[in-house]
Amino acid sequence: MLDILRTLLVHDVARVLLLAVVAALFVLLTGRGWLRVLRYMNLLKRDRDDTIEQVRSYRQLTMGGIMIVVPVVIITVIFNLVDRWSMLLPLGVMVSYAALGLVDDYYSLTSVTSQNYGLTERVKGALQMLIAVVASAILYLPQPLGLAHAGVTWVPLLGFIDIGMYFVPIGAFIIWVTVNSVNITDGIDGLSGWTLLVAFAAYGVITFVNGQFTNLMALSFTLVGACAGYLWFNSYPAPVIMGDLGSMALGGVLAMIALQSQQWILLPIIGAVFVVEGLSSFVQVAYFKWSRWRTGTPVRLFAMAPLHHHLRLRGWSNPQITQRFVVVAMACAFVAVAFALQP
Amino acid sequence: MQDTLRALLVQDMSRALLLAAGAFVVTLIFGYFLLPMLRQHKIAKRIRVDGPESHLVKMGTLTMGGVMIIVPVILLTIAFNLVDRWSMLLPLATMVLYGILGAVDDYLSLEKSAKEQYGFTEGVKLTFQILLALLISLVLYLPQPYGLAHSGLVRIPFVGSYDIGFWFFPVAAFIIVATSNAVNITDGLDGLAGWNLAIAFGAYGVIAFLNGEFTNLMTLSFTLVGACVAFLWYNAHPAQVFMGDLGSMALGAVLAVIALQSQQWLLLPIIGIVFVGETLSSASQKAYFKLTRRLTGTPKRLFRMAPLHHHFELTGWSETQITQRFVMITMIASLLGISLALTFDQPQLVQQEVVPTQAVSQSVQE
Repeated sequence: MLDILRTLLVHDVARVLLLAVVAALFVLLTGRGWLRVLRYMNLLKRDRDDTIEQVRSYRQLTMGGIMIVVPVVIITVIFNLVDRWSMLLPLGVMVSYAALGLVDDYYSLTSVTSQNYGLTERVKGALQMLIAVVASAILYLPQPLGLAHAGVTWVPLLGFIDIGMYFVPIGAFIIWVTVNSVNITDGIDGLSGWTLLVAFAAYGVITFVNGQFTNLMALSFTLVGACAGYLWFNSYPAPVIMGDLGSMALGGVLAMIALQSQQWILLPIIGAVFVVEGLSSFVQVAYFKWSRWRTGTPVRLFAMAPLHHHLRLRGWSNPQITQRFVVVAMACAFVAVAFALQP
Repeated sequence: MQDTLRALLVQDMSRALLLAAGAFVVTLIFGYFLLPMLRQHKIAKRIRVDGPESHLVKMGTLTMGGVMIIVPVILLTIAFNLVDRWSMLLPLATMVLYGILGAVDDYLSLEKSAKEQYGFTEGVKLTFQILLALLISLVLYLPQPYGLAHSGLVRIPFVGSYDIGFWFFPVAAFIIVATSNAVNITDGLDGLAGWNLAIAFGAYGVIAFLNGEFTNLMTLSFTLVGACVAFLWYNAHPAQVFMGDLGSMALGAVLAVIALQSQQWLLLPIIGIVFVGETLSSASQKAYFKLTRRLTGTPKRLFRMAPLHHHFELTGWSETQITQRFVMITMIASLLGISLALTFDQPQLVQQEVVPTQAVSQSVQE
């Protein structure tokens, strides 16, 4: 009996893993072409004056996320859409955040002379929130309008409970936070690509074990393969970074996978690196303002926020930061998956 | 019904993953105390003068970091994975024996050692490796009181299980020696061997999990993954410590033994594709060099420098780029290897699906 279940499960796994291989090869084969396009369009990133990015002897191309987003959309539409229309939602979220990130990236190019390095925080935040609210509303609404995902969530040791209406604001908040944290994490060669790969793989395993969401498992592993292909080009010293386009789109789709699989409670563990990076940035700004208001002289907690810049100033090399963060992300993913497996 | 089955299936997985996380933490803490100890005893490697010039900065990097992986794995396996699973003694013994061989090799190549040498001569090393491998594969093959009675079964993709009988003995010995040496050759860049080993162990962990018969192997594999991953914390470029021959030979041998015990060793060349590529590049370079010298008098090289990672280094890839790209290749190959492993079950599916449905329908009628 156990064997039948295993073979049934295993059949999907084989298909899904092959999907990951296809995605990786797709990105590897098209990546060089995208690089040429980016270079031709002169999409060079303008470094902020206030960071230590100037140590680079060259300028990086940005918007490299396009080489992940396009193959994932194409592969999902071909292999993973029919009878699984719920996949349209994560794809829609990914594409709309990618579009927002594209605009944001555009203003940060060397060829564009604007005062700011992207959209102003306020406009960006509002648009992000809008997409997040719409996405979580669609998740919550009943069948003809949405996915009828009626607020069911998995809680460790308790099992599945229904949180009802509260799902919408919580869902929107999770999407918004994830998008921004991944965006903040994307500051060092390979860091966001690696940690996203680990997170998608973890959700792939979780959805496999859960068993109801084969489509989400397929999407997760497609993203794993695509991230692996992208990391070929994003290895230090990298000629291209994923940019806001990639980080926001992939952060959005990660949050959507977590919400749809009903296991979003585990997202802070699986994305521990994103959480820490986001928190370090937030705490730095908050403490700076608080101390200025309190004593008049602003004080910094970290030498520079987010955390990876702080560690770089502390003498860690670029690959060291990436590798150590990735290793921690992996250990956290082990713990999270083990949690999810508890009956 | 399905839920209880699933629960049974995943119970072991949960334990294995927690053990991986445990191994990660233990190794990280152990490494923190090990590094000052290594530094104090001046366990630093003599770097080959004929390697790439960029590697001369590695002069004085600590070596024998493999201890950091091996000791926690042994302790955790004895504590959590040994009772009722005595077959785990074999991989542990393999790891220890090859670890000792590697340690002697490492010791002879230290900066402080008197003689100007880089370890054993090739011949001596190979003889010891082969002797150990023969012993291990004998234990694998022999019937119950002497060995594990692993009677030469091998799983072939799309075909199913097949018994190769006595031939298992030499084949297994060859695989152990080859893997141990291949990992040793691969261990030439910061993080390269560690990452590839972590992924290979992870792949075998997943294969053992999906196979279902080898929960103990799954647990061991994931323990090794956790330990390798923690080692990578200290091995990140620029590395504070290398795993040394101690680590690479021990872990290579244990990888081979896990592959043999899981009966899926045909997939080892796919999952360890980087190890294979590195070894082949090294061997073909040597062979081509000798051949052209004999034929034309002027020796020629196939690669600018063997093994493969040095070749890419000389063509302008950075060290991190080579590591990361090789790791990506291993990752994709492993996904392919796992999905190949899953094809084994297909023929059995048809037969087994019929029987229980009848049983269920009978019980319903009653």
